[in-house]
Amino acid sequence: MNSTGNKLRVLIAETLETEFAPGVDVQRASLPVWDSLNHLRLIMAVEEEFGVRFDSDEIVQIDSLSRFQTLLEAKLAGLETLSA
Amino acid sequence: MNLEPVSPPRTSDVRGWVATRQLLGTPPGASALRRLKPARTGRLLRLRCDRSLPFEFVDEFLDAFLDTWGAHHQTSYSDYDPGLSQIDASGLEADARLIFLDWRLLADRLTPAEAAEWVAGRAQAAIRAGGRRSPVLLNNWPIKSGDRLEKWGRALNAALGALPARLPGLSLIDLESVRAGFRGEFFDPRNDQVSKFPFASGAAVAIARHLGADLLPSLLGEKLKALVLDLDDTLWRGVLGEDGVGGVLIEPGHIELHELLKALRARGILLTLCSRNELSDVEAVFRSRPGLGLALTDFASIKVNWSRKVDNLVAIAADLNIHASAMLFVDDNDSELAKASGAISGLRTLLADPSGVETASALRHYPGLFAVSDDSAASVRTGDIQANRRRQTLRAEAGDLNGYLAALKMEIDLHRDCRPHLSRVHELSNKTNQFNLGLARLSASETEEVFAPDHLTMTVSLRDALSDSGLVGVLIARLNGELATVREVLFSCRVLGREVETLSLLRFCGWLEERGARRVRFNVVEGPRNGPARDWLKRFLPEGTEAAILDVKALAAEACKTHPATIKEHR
Repeated sequence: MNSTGNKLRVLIAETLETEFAPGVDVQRASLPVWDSLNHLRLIMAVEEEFGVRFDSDEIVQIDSLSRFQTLLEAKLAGLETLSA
Repeated sequence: MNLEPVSPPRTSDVRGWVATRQLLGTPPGASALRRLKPARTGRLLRLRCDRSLPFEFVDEFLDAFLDTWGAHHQTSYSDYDPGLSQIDASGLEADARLIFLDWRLLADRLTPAEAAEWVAGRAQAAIRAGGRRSPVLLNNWPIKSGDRLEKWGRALNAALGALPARLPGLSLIDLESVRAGFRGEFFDPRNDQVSKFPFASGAAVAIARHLGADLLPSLLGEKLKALVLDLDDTLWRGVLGEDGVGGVLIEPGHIELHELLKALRARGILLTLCSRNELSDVEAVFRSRPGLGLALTDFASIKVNWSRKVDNLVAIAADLNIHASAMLFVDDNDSELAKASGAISGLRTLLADPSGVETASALRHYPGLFAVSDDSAASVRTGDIQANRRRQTLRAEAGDLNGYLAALKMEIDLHRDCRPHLSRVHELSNKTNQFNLGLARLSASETEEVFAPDHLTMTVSLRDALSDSGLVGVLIARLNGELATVREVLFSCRVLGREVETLSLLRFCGWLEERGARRVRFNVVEGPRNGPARDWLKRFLPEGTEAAILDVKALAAEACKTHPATIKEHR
């Protein structure tokens, strides 16, 4: 997993106050603590940490750590393109 | 000049002071705040939240702010219930009850007045459920300009704003004023869409600060009564002794700070000075620098000299007749803060920012300074304390106590069951420490009871040749046949030493007899600071806390038989 993925994994674990097995994807549906309230806390934390902003549709689409990472990387790549 | 070696403060102390100042003034973002992980030690506050709006987003940041005054919390939640049907559930012990409502859910069904009336009923139920001791906090609604609910929300907020005066025990979580003071976008429609929480994460932090640093310490903690302010690099930039009267700088941050201090003074917080400087230099700055938003007469006590600051702090507490734990010492020198907090138990400290900016922003939210309600003695307090110094001179010149009391020309007004004094009774119960016999700390709602038919309440006002002290004392008794239980005796520390309390007790005993009482029992609770009140009572009840009223009256009459005060009774 790249550094964005690692950072995201740590942030999610910190925010949800839980631990994940390394290298394993995490599904929102299989993790009771990842409820709608914590989902929003996660979004807020990631936005603040990475300086990105998700729209409502994207927030709803995020249903796993891998999905979260994909969307985040796309956002960060977009930021890099804009600043290039 | 004192040349003792200065032991440097620990790095952790300095970091702590800077972090606290920044946390209160300009809180970090949500993630940084989450990582703070406050100690969760000290006093545990049990909160109960009845809600139709997710409070969890605010709740997670509360401990960071509670930690600044040595508290932490746990919250028990109702279900999401716009009808607040669980609000009067019994068996829920709570130090404070929160009603956190998504007012939008009512906007299409009720007028603002109807919505306010409905919630007033639910708030009353919450006050009752808390045994009238736990404060109830209810949110109003932040106004979004151009929103379809803007007009409804403004009318609602006006109606809610009138409720605390009607319902003692209710305070507002003023989301509209939090929004007005918030830099950035307060609302976040995405959060609303996903979790029905319409506010941004920064707004959640600001709401947590309002609760954790403004409201809860003022309702549940000990209030601050005085600020002790340094001058150099605190009220101005520079060192007066080196830069000279014309050389110290008064920058925009200092002007902002001076305005805030003026506002705090107007709300009843005493301002005092504690600075190592030449007094003549300081007087020259206050006289000649028009940018200075304060005058020396704004300060109730001034200690500008070369003595140790610790000694001056103790002298200021004595001047004001308050315990040092009711003072906040503001100084830019971390060594002075370390020495003072090490030497004076309970003293609170704030590291000043030489520019004034961060000092002002931290003071705006410093725990214990927020005014939940108006302080009715605010306008007289500083003048009365300044007059106390003239009284001391008069006392020394008069030679004996009677001569001194005669020179004062005291006029005492005794009011019987005077309900308009309710808010001042509540204030005195919660602010007085030294002359607080029962330490009942009446809640706003409990204060209503002292004007019930089975009670007799005397409120005492005082003025003399030097100042009008305002309403300074209260005696409260519950009557049951021939027994009167004196629940509380409270007197402001500003008026002690003039036997006002004894004169009042003598008349109060007479009033109790008129109501059929023959014996009196005093509720006496031993606290860390109320020795003066307990010692005073022993003069009239040498043994125990219950006696025949005739006996108490006889001793009180003997104690003040030559007292020259003029007394008027108002029934």
